[in-house]
Amino acid sequence: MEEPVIVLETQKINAWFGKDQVLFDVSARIPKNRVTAIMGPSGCGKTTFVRTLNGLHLMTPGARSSGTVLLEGTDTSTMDIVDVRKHIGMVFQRPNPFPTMTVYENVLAGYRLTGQRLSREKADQIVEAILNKVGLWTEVQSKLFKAGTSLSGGQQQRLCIARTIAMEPAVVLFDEPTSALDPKSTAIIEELLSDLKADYSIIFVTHGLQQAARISDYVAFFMLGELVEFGETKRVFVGPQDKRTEDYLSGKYG
Amino acid sequence: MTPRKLKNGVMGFLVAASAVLLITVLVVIVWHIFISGVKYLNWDFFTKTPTPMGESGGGVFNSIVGTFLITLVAAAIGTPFGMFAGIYVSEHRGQRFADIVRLCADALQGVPSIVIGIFGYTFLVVRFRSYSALSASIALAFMFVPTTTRVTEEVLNLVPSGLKEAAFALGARRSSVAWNVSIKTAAAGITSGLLTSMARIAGETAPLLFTAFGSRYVEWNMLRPMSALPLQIYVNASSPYPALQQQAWSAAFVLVLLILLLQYGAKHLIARVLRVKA
Repeated sequence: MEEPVIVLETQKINAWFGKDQVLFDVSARIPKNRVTAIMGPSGCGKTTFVRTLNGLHLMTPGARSSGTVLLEGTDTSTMDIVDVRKHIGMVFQRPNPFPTMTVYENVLAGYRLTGQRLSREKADQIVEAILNKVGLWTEVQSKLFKAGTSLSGGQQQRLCIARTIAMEPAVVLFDEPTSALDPKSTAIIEELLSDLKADYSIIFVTHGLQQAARISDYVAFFMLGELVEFGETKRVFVGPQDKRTEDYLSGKYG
Repeated sequence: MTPRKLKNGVMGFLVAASAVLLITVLVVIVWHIFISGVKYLNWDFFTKTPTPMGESGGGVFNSIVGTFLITLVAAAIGTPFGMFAGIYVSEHRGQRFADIVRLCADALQGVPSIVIGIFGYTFLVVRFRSYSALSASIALAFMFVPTTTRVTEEVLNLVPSGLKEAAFALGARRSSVAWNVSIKTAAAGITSGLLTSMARIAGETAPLLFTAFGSRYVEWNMLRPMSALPLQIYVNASSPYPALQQQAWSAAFVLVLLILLLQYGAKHLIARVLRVKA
């Protein structure tokens, strides 16, 4: 088996909310152009881990963190946070298109919010290409200038994926993006992931074991703020090396 | 009947009775003003200035102009201060200085309007040696700012934090998030707050007694004494002439209508905000 290229590496990440430590020395190497699932029981630090990667963790009052995040070899703490977030995009648990913007404007929200101007043709081009990429173009072509919030929940979430990848990030963080969606919309987004990984490296937080097994190439198993096991999904599911992973997979807790 | 059912019945009655009482009070006031005011409304009422004491006819055009000018100028002075203070307090939630600003806004809201009037008289009228509409607007702005601050803050706090996070995650800086996401999402709510605050100051009388003073003429110069509907009502209603008293009712009707319209507009806008949120 050929060693994958590493796009993102964390070295000894620790994170706190006030006095409560929620992550302990998390070191992980995220492969490029693969889907890496972050799984584990509720409250194990999955979401906090991905939020330390793009600096959102520190925006919570009282939150602290330590450790290093290397994005394609560059220490992100030496980069402007705006650049970090352009390279590491994020899709959230609940679909959250901007209610004051149309579908069209939502796709380009990142450009507008960071003050980048686009020519009309370039903007049209990006909107069509990106909406095609998330499989929304035919569905919303006639609703481009309606409010983004007028779409169905599943469409809204794909619109949020669209606005994230419109910024051409290297890594896209998905924080349980299907937990508020119906099974059909979930299936559409899961299918989408296998297309997206050709262009992006994906980190996907989920608490569903089956979902992790279905969609991921690699899996990181978290418990009580520790990264217990990391490896190829098949290998971890078939032959977990840590007793705690084995117990979790066999449904002893979760 | 079990005690639980009895308690339920008594509480149900009290709640319903209070609700009915509230509606009754409003209906009685509005109805009475409508009945007393509407019959003296005519074209002259809206277009003419008051006749000399004791003569019939004339109108309150000068007061209508005055109410609009004084209220609009007060809102123009107060809006930026109130809005920016509200944005500040909302953006710096939990910080000491923001808490102090909020506390001051609440305290200022509690200052009786007559005190605001005396304040305007002492620091503006006496200093510039003239009653003026501008000093009235400034005094009213002191009442306008705290309500606007609080409403702006509360509406901004309603903007879901998920939206702001989404903007940050796209690389937006704080100022961009505040302007492009928070304020735009809350815009209808903020506007509605401005209208409510305007409705509140449009009916104020005490501050005007000490500052605008009143005038028999149509006055457009903010630096001169000016009439306003509440002043006109006060003067006419306390005069001994029935014709003037009737005019006071009509003026009261116009004033109440104006305020209800502002509040209706405000409510309409709030409904729009809640739709955006859902």
